[in-house]
Amino acid sequence: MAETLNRLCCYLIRDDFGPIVEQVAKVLLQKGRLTLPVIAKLSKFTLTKTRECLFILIQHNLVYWADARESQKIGIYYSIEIDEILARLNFGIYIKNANEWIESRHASELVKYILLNGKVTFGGLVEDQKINKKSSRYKDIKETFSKMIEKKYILSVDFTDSKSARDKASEAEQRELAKVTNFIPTKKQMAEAKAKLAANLDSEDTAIGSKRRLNLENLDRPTKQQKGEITIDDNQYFRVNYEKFNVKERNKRFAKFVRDRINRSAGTIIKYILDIADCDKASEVESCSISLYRILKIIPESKDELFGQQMKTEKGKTVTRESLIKQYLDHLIDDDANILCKRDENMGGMYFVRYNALCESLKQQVFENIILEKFGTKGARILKVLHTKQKLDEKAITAFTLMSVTDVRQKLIELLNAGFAQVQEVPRSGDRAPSRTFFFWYVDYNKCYEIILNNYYRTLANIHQVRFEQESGAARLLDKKEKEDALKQLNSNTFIQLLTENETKALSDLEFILTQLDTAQLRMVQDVMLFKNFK
Amino acid sequence: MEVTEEELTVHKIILEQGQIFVDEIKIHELIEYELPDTPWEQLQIILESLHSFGLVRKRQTHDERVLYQARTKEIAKKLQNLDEREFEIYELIENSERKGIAKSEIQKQSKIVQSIVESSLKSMQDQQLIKEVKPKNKKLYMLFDIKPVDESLSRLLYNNGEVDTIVVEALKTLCYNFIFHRSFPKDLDEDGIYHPGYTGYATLEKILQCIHESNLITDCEAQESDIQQLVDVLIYEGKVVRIFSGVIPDSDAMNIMDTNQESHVMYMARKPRAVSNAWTPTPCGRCPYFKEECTEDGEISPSNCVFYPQWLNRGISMIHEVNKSKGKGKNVMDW
Repeated sequence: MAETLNRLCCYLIRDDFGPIVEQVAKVLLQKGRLTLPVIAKLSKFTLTKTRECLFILIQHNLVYWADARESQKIGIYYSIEIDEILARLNFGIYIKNANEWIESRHASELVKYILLNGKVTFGGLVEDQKINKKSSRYKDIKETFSKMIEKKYILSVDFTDSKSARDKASEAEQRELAKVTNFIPTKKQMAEAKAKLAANLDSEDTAIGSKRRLNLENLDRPTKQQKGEITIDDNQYFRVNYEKFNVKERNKRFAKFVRDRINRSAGTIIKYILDIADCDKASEVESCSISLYRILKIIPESKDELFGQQMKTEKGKTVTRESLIKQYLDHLIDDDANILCKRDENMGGMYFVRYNALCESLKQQVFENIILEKFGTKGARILKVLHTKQKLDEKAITAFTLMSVTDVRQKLIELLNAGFAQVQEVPRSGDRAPSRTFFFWYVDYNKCYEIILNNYYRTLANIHQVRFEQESGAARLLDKKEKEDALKQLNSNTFIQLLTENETKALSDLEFILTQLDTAQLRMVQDVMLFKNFK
Repeated sequence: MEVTEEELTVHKIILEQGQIFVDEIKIHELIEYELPDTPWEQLQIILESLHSFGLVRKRQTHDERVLYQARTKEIAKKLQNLDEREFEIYELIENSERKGIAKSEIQKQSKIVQSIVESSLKSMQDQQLIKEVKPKNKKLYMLFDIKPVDESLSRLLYNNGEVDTIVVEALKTLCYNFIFHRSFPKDLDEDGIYHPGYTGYATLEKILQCIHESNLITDCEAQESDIQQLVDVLIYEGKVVRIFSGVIPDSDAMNIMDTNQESHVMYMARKPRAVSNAWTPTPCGRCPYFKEECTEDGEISPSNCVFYPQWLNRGISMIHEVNKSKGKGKNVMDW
């Protein structure tokens, strides 16, 4: 797993920042925390070059640094975050959906700009995009930007955020210990300090939602109600909050799942429910309770016709809008995929979503689909039997699946080789002779998910490698194309053609190949998000 | 020597107990009504005589009690004609019960020469005392009127102890279609569903009735348990889900035990367009070398992969065809 991840991370960095930065990142990925001179030595670059590479990586939130005192001098250590690199895979999804999620037509553009630059200030953005401060576009962008801050799509960052969370924690611990004693602390003192810090962190989280929100208050940003004018600190740096986008993507995936499983109406309803719940963190287990009336209020009446068409109601009963939607909600509760849950009957019923349970059923569906595609119906049947009945021997599997013994044996071996099925031996006698041993087969879905995730990463790395291969194969063609574009830009309106007809065709084919690879990658990234980020 | 009236009565009483071994003390109690005041010694003599006529089987337990099981008169009559060795073999086969016993095992246990075993088996088969069954190509012998243990699963779905996949697949399709047609309302949008609490979905009885009416099965009767097994397989395949419906029993009502009031099981089909995954459509998802042989710079690697160019070229030729039929368009793919 680690090897595959390192390979994928290197490819991602090569793709975004080129081979030189990749070399530096590779050293950090392989060796862990290092100081600048060591990195330079290992990557065989000069100090300045290495520093510049590190600067790029820090700007894009990929590298963290921390200072550590070693006797007389202070050493600065750099470390790379694999999760931050992997998050770069999701950028396509963020940019594509930003407009819809943030409900503003400039959002995609802004998100793209921020992602391209890693961290930005609003002032820098305005200057860079050459936006006239008096134009209406400036007003729109400012509004969108403040909306993104308010809804936590972007977070403010400061000097201390370049330290990794682990470093911050250990520093806080040191400070806490220094308060207690100035000698070597005992085990008990250390445990106390840790407990105190953990308690602090918890209360902080619940009280103000997130630590960074405090910084936002400092921005002296009056809300719209107070004044028509919105002010944003021009020099405050912001970065994209991946978690918020991930949660949005998860909700989208849920709605799609329900739409495919039941129908469009049910998908629409669950989408609105998830919108009301509007959770910020992927770690949340349950949504808040939502009353029936709130659901009724938010669903636009234009959808009623669709709902009516897709639900066969009981004969002889008058159908109102309320009863119709309530029936859909009941259907969602009845479904065995844990889509919706009901907490209470007051206010017409309080509904909530169990994120992790729903996520689990979605994962299960995707995984079973993979098994179906790879091992056929027979493989899927065996897997499901093993999942529902737990440990079984060959004979019992044959009886449950109604398959011949040879088929069952073959499929089980295939599943075992792929790592999905496992065998438990139970010897009947002390000598553990195979003839007197029970062999029980079983599957552990969580283990399977890990294997699947690793397969996904490997495939992503392979796709990157294929793309580099394709690009380097057509390097001459691409160079020529670049030249042509440059010439065209220099002398506009002149008819310049460097490429022959065949070359144009080859170029369009190459373009399509790259689109195909990118599409496959983006489709996979959605599944990777499901297995990795959604709990 | 004839069987006496008393002996026949005792035999009848043991026979009424069915195919089980009965303790002699219990027999003594049972005959109290028909033959009062029979002393214990008298009963022993009667049972011994019944055993010599072949009308009962005798078995001794480890704690020295003797158990008896009755044989029918017809079989006893046939047994009278067997010689000593044949009778020994018969008892071995009888004791193997539903599992059956192989010829080699008979030889080993009875220590009789192979030729005699074979001829005895042959003659007993002719008399319809025993029969030959062949689960998995191994000849086994068991009593003529006994159902072999493997076949006891289901006569419909199993053939000689092996699953009859053709029958299973055919019936499965029939069941699925039946369930599918009752799962979605017809007069609505294609995505239509029934309201919660709807009770018209397919039940086991209805599926069984449909199979009976289809006249697909001629040589034996479809049992409810067979259909249950088939529907379970459909559930494992993810094509069908089980739903519970009906009256939820009142907690304070007295009729909780009333079976008619209990909720019953119904089956609903899932829509065929299930959740898809993104991995298997790519060449890596179906590559036989993906897991071990393919490495970054090995003999087999993504750089010299033969599957990717094939896959990419197929995409290109497809897009050319689309462009031809629809005119030039933008090559955008949905994800």
